[in-house]
Amino acid sequence: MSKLISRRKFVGYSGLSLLNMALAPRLVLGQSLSTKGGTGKNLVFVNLYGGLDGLFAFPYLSGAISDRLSSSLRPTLSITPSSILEAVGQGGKANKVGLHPAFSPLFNIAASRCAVIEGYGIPGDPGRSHDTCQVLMSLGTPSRPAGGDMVGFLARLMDLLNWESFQYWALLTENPSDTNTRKRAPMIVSNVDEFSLPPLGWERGVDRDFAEEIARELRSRAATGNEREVLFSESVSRVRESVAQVQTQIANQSVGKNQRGDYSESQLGRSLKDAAKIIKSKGISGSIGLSGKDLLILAGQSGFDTHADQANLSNDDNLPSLLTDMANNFAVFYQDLETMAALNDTVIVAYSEFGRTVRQNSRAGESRAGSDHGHGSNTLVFGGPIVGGVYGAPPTINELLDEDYNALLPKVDFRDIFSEIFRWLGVEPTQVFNDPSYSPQRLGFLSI
Amino acid sequence: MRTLVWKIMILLLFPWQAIAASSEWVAITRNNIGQFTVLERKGPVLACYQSQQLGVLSKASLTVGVRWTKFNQTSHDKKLNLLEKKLKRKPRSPSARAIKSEIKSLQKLSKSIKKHQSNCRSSDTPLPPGQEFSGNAQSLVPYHEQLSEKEVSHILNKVAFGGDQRLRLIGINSGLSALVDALVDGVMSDQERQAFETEADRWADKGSWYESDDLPGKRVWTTEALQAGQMYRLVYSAEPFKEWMTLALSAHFAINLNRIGFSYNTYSHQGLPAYVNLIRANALGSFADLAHGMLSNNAMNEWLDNRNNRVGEPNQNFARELLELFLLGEVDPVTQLHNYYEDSIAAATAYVSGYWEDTEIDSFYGNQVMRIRYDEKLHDDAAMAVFSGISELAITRTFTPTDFISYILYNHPGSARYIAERLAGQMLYPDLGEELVADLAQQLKSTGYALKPFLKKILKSSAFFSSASQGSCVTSPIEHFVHLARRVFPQAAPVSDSEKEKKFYYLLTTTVEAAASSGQKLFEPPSVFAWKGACNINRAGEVARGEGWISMQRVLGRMKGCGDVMNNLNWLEHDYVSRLNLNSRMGAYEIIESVRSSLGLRTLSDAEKEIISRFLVTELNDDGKRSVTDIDLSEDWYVKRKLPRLICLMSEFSSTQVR
Repeated sequence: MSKLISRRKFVGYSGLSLLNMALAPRLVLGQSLSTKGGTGKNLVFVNLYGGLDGLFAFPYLSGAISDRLSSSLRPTLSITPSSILEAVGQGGKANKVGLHPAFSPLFNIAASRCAVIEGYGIPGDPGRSHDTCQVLMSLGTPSRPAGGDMVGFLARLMDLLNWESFQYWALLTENPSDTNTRKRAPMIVSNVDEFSLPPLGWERGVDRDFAEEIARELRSRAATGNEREVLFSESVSRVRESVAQVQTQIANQSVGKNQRGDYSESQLGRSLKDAAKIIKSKGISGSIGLSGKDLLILAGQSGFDTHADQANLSNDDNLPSLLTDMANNFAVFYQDLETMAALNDTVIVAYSEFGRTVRQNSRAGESRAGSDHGHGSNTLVFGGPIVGGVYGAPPTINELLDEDYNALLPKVDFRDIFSEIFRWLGVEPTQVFNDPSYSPQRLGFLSI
Repeated sequence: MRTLVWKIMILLLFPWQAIAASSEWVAITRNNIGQFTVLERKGPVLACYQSQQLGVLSKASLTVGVRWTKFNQTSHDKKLNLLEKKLKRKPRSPSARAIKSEIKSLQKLSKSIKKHQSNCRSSDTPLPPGQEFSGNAQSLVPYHEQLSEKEVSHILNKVAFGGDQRLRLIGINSGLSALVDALVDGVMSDQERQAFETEADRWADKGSWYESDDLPGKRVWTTEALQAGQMYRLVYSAEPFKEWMTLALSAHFAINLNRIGFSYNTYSHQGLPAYVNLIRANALGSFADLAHGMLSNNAMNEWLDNRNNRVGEPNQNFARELLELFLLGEVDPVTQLHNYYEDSIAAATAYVSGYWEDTEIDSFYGNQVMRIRYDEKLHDDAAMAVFSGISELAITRTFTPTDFISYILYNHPGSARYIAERLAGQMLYPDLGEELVADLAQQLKSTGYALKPFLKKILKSSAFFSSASQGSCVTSPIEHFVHLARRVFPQAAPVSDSEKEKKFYYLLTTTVEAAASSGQKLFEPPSVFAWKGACNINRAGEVARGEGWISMQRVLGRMKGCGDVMNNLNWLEHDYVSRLNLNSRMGAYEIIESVRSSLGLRTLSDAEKEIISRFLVTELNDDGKRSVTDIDLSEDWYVKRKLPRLICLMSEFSSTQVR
């Protein structure tokens, strides 16, 4: 029996959801959040699929690490230190970390609100498979659960806080566990503008309305059959019910096209544009009614699996181009948040299933050079409440030169990044991660 | 009772005369006992046996007995094909006249069979109670031969996009083995197959190809054109199982053709089809050949960078996916034991190294094309340790790329299990048990990874007709739209009418896009994992049954996609009335029943029929209602408004969305 279906079958839209709410233990910090849907904060999680090369995107610009990387380990993939954007708050530090110059559109407006986390990753030995590492990150565990519960930690967060469907938007996800909730289903919508039923060419409006009425009547009788049929019927019903709300209250919000430019047509550009619209809709009254409620938006971008031509600018999918697109979209989004006075309530975190190998996989000077699957990596968190700086710890030289391992060893459990954000939200992270062996370590990029 | 005894006695004494005298007999023939219904006496005597199987009654000898021979469409077609070839080769030989006569009688038989097929179907006499879908989910022993209509629909819906009338009748009239043989071995003659391929290419040719600046007059297929050609195959092939397998294997050896397409267009239009052709050529052939073919395939080398993997410059991309996705899987899908550990990746990378990218002038098109070549000087032949930690498999040695693939396929016990589970789980049901997987793996390995016997075993198995196999997965968007198209689109593509041809091409691309907006674009999966959440994508402990296809946006895509496809059919001036077996004047309930039957949907309740009939008779902003008993379907405007919407409304039923 499918875990997903069985859950929904029993508690999906039934009164059991209410029962769950009543019986749920007080798992949140501070005052009751579930009564009004939270404190009005926005979490924007950006999953960079494929394994972002953290050493390239957030490189070392000084010290022995930088020297080794540029001279022998990855000469073709190194960035001229003088062009690297130095992260704030590293006075006197030897191995300084920065941002790839492509990040300048964001850095120019938000340097003090950008936190670089160095050496984060899945603890232990998770292997280097995209799939395994993505699923482990989604589940919030360092190893496969035996016979396990495949509910991702974001799904668990939604359940824990008894969120309404409209409080969790999965705009781009490849992992079913991200959205595998036990209670209400999140909005899994990849494009709010296209979340509509356009008129068909040959029908008159009144006929279309009538057809819709007929469809509704048919659906009310259709919820029989096996679990998958029931799930499909439910999905059809939810779509029909939410299309109009999404169109009138979210899709028509005007965002982008600000001083920082406009969102691009990439996956990330489209996701962030939708994220901005959803957040902006909190300011209006309507049946979705997000005002004052917490909001989780899962955005993403694929293409970071840069085995070849990583820095080759004549290649369509080169990493500097992907970073430029990311930075431009982040900057436009940041500006939108500021304009709609939502910046101080919003945290954006980028993450990836693993980093990449320390050594490049072609000889020096070969433009086809890329990097293979690694382990630990560096990443970025930014937003109004973020205390700019560098958090985590750099690798030692010995670790860097370990030819067999050929990857960064994580010094920061990836869950610590999310834990800090959950604490800011007022939620006890151990309840979200559901792993008795996990003890969250505070990083300090958020003032809590 | 007395009459029956009398009939049996007459039959025993004068069998042939008795058959000639009456149409209904309980007969004892040389090979059957049971009820026969004689349908045709002119020429071959055609009769239904037990109201199920259409066949020929003949004299067993000059004087005594009657023989019953079940009609087998596949062997009939093959025999006819063979005779025609023979005649063509030696039209003046002494035996030509006899061959001609035999051809003529076979053609006549074929005609009679066609005429009577619908008079001999299982719906008249359903299987005895409890026999329908009585298969054992854990058993691969053959299921009973006689199939009910529902069971025939089950197999066709699961692996053949609903099939077609010919396959349906083979299943109903000739039983399970004949149907499975027809699905797996095919029903087309070589000439028919060739003609079909040429026609599919004709539709790809109509795509948005352009002439290369460097190579005037040379056409370049874009991904869109390739997809249109393949969509034609999916919708119109008489051998849909081959296309279903192509789809399944393209998800196994997943490549996003569009992402690599641009760089390939600069070389040749051949870069894209080579990948599709490789899969189609082996879809019902050898999995081992397919795996080996990927080593030197252009698109695969571009996608996973193996052309850059050389001694001293190891690129792990292809080697990793070879182990994780193509041949092994990181852990066994049933036992959850590791098939390999991370340290095998470095060795595998060395083993499959040595390929590089060459360019040459294509002899036919005259343009520059890319060729993937193997150079042993670029191959890393250092002895390396592989499969350490895997009992009895750990070894330190060197391999050539092809030897390494063979080594895994034939020596690693996890390989056949992984491949068997991946494919069989999509056909039977996800999350197969240990014994089934072991049995199927053994079958696969013992035949050198020949797919035909493996697939036949699955399709004929008791497990296939178990309750676990019914509705075990949500249909994928491509399955959904192809199923719809095979039942609604014009019977044949337009010919010699450029305007209609243009519209038909758009119909094909619209269908590709409809599936894409529902989450699945043909040959364009989002990643090397193809589509997570699709049927039996069993990864990292997560067993999927197609739930990934029914997120809100994807369900909405199915609704919108149906409308888009219907808009295109209207634009094409499609004749819905004849395609859906309707008459020019019919009652609302008759229309509903006919459309339901044509779309292959479940039986509707009276309440559902009543609701839908209201839709058919109600004319808003018009002169009121139409008569529920008499609707004029010669009225073009009514048909264009109501029937497409009716089709989309009915295809929203959840029962059509699982297979």
